[in-house]
Amino acid sequence: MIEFIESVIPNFARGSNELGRAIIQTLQMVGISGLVSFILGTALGVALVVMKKGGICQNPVAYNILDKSINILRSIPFLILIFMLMGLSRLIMGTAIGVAGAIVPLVVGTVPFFSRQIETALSEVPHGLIEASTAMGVSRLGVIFRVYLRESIPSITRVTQITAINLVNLATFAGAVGAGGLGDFALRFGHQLNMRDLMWLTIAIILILVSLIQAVGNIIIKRATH
Amino acid sequence: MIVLKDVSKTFETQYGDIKAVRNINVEIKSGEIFGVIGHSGAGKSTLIRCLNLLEVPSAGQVIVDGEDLMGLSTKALNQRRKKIGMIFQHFYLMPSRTVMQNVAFPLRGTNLSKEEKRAKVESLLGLVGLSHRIQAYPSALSGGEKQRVAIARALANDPSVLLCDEATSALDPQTTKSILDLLKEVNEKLGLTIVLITHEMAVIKEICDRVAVMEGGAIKEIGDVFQVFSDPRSDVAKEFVASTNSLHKVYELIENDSPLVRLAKNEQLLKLTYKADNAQETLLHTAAERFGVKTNICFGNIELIQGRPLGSLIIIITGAEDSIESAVGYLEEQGVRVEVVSK
Repeated sequence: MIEFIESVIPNFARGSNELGRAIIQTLQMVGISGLVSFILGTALGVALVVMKKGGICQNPVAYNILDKSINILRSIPFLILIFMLMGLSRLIMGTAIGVAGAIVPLVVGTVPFFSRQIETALSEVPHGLIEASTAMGVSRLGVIFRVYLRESIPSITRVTQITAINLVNLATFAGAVGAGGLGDFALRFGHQLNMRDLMWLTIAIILILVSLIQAVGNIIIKRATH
Repeated sequence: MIVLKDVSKTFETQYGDIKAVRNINVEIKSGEIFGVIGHSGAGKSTLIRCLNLLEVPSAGQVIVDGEDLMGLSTKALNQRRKKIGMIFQHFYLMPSRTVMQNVAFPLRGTNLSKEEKRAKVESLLGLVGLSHRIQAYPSALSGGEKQRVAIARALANDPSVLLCDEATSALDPQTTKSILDLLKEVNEKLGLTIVLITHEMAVIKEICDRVAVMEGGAIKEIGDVFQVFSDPRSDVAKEFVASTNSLHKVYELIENDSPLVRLAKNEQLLKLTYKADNAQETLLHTAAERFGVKTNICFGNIELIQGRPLGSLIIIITGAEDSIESAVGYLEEQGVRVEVVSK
């Protein structure tokens, strides 16, 4: 087995220690910022849908403020976000470097995009279902959880897949500017030390990660669609 | 009992205000089936949605069983709404939930235990005749079955009122009939007040006790279904009644100068409306014999409304003018309404 690995990836032994850590760092970045982004993005997506004109908590002023803020944040390139948010990151995470330092820019880079996707997903719920629930005396909070979110599990899963894969990409980026992880690993070993085999290995690992996200999502979609 | 007092609803749009409902005053009695008929845009849909404040009236009062809904807090209104069931043209079942879960949906937050909820759902599905579909998803049901599930769901909290928003408009005639029969059945079994809106006079004819005819946001005519059918007063009611049979074709025939209705000098074209149970054949026969006139039936129609027959005939009557006059006088004496269509 070891011989086989050495024949395909000759530099494996030289990078293996670092590789383990890099995988963990990437998983931490994707996992933590993914979870935070999921909660925040879902909350904002729900807020957009219910505050929209004709929504169950109609509020044009708040909707417009949120809508415009999301558009502004969405248009800032991620690379700029990383150093723009260093101050905020120190305030929230206590540091602007390493995995902890990458969480804030990753969340800010993901939430606006994700909340838009959630908004679209929830808008697909037929208005009649909302109306029927209201007629049944379901409270507004009940409508949000029992109708909007529950009835769009397949669409929410679909947009979560897309966003999670996007996040893997962003996390690689963050790595290149000091957060560690697979991006950093590929940059240092695959590029600067010119060990091309380790670059390919990194790509293979990311491919597995992306496939896993796809597979889990597809199972959820399949089970939630009737 | 549902009382609407001076209810108006105005929608503000960028093109100006639209008065969808204007100064409606109606009393709907407990246990009756009350129909509202009107063309699209007549305001009937807005009106029925005012009854559970899905649409909040711009002015007026909505009083259900003695309680003014507009005076209630959001929380109290939600409690109140549980006692006002509603079904829709497009059913609006939750696609991610089974029939069982759909019917149990409005039971969340009640004091019932899990077993009691299940028993409740099973008895409701028994009532609507869908016990065998309890684990199915809505996507596997036909339109009629979906509406049955929707009815079971609407009845889950034992409401006193059931609102039907064009409940049969998406169904074929046969399924419509079966859903109307079911509505009639729950009305009788549970003593439920039913308010339904429709654009089909056939639906009104089939199950309603009283009907309101709407046009331009206002009620043009209101009354007993039999009375409105036998003696419509407003133009829009006349038009709806005419749509239920083929008698109005006579006017087309006259316009096209069809030989079927072309009159000789001593002939008149009459429309006779018979109420209740005066036997038409005998009456015509007697009139013909007694006054020396001849009658010839062009069109005829007999409806059964609220269990009472309502007949209409278009006849050509032949004879001297004073004989015809006497015959008409005789028929009117016998309770037949006579209109001269042309002479």
